[in-house]
Amino acid sequence: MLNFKKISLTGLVTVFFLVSIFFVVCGAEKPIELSYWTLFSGGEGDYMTAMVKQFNDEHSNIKIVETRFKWEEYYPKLMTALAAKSGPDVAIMHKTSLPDYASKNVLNPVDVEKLSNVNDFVPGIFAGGKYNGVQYAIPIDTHPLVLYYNKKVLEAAGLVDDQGNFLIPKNGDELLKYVRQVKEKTGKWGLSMGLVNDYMPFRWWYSLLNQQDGSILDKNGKVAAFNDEKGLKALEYIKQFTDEKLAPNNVNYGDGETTFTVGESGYHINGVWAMGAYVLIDNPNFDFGVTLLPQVYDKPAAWGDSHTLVFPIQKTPDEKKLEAALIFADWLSGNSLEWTKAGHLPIRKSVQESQEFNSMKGRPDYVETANFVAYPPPVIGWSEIQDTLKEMTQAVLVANEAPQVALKNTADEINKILASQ
Amino acid sequence: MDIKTAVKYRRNRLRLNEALLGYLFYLPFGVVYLAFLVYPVFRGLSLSFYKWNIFETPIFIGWGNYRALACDSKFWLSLKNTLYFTGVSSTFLVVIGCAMAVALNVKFRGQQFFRALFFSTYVLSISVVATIWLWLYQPQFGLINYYLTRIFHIAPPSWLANTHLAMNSIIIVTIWWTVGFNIILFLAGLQEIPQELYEAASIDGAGGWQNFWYITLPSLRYIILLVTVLQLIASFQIFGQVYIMTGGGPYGSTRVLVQYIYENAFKYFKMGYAAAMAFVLFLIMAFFSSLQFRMFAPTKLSKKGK
Repeated sequence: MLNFKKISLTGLVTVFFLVSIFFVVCGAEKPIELSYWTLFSGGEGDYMTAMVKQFNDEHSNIKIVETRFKWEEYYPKLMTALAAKSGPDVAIMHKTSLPDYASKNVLNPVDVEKLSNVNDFVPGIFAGGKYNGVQYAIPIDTHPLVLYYNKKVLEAAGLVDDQGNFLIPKNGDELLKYVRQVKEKTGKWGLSMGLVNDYMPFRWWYSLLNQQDGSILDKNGKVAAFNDEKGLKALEYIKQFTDEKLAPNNVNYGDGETTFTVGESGYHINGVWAMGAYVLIDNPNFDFGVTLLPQVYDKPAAWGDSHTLVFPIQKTPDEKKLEAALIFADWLSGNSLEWTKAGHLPIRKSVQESQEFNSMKGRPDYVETANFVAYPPPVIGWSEIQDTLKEMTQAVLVANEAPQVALKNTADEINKILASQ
Repeated sequence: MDIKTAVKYRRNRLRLNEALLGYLFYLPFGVVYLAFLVYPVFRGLSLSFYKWNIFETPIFIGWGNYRALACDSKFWLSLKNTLYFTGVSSTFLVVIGCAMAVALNVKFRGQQFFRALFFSTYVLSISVVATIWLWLYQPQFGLINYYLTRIFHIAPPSWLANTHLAMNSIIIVTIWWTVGFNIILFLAGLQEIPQELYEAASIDGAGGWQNFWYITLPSLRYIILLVTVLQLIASFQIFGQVYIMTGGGPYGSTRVLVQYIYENAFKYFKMGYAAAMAFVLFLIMAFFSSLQFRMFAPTKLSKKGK
């Protein structure tokens, strides 16, 4: 009996020991699961999902679970989740939205020490993830405005030089001239963009404002500063295109893209993100090229924003998860070559200079834009200010309001918004 | 205790049990109703006196939000747009709904089929409806403009991009989408009208139009009241069509109150301001609903109550 008892006790201990080892070993192998919210759709979204899969394949100890939202409904969802402190572990956030969130104590600051090779970032880009001197976000791209053109339409319009090169407008006069020529020679639209109910005209106007060294707000970000000669000139320049019926002013974003991709317009203004979908279009009337947004005034500038990764504060903070999230963010921004396939500009010098990037369709033609991206001011309440500026372009281009009147009203309204923050 | 008291006592107990049972049945609904309707309404009302960005502690500002509303031109434009939409769409939806119900009440081959057909659009979700119509309205390649230009040689209208036309385009979509529901309500009402009335009228030599005017319409009185009130309440809350199809544009010409509330709350971080607007909308809707009930049946409804 005694013996038996001893044996069983030893056995029990052994079994307990083995089971413990089993749990410890297998517990270590169970990966940390991180939720990741994105707002990409179409071509862009597929590249992101592919990158997440690649990361998961390469990292057995971390598992990223991506949830894709539609762009329009993304921020309301993120906002309510963050307010309840039950947001995702990693989330995409536009650089322009960062001040609204970073100022509210809902994002974890980034431990820059833990990132590898911060020096590889294109100058100025990494600092874009800062708010009030604290790093809250890690940029993964820049997406400025560019000018697209359809070679088939330009051929038909005779916009080809003796060497067979397509005529690319370098300044404001050339753009107007070529666009008029498309209209005269082919009867098609010279220029297309998402014009009705879209931010595109605002983005173009903002680019033109920056080309004259103008700005939306004063230095302190307290008062509207665009109601001047510069703002007016930019608005009047754009107005010519709708006044002369060179650009359709009844197309929204989707219709603007369709107008271009079915071969009904010669030139097209859009963000670089459209490229991911455009390269996949198989249409005999469509063969596109990309170039820089024409420099209408003193210096080059193109509106742009940047996708960044942020790390929401959770109800129950988990250091391990935060650490894993940083590893993911570090990897994603470091491996941005894959992401540039969606059209975005790289944020890493190594990618910018790489053979692979430069051999991708059209990339060398617009990579220069990275040097003069005009980001909107980092101000709290930007989304309301931006909506108000969008209304201004709609007033002038769609509802035929006088530019001076629209500028003044908009400036007044923005001053009111700034005062109420 | 004599027999009488005992019976009385027992009866009271039974009655109490019955009441308890009633409350018990009501309880699940009551809890949900209180938690998700009554509480939020009062919470919303109190919120409207605060400045709150959803993340930080609300700051009490008294009537501040309401004062800001009074001089917010976007608010007044949204209110005007909402009233226009509600007025026009409700009128058409009630009149067309009633007319179509009367037509579908006549016995003919395929009656059931057409009833189902006209109701079928109501089953679709708003995103489906909006997407279909976005394509129909498409200015350059859309079906409507295709026929207008090819067959009728009319300059193609910019259905959703013209500040004067956009709201009317939205109204057309709304009628197409929701008239089926009103048809069903009116059809139900029509079944209630005793057939003898029509027989008696025909003996007296009444024609179709007289039948409609003197029998059908007066008999449908309460249904018309019901449909109109339901319709007003639904129309005041218009959001989805506008949100998906125009985003409130062009130049604010289709921005409606619910959308402006949504933008302020979920885009601009102004929860208190949005709550104040929501409460104003609530008051307007309550006013119109009460007006309706008063206008329609001042005598009969109150008599029934007695």
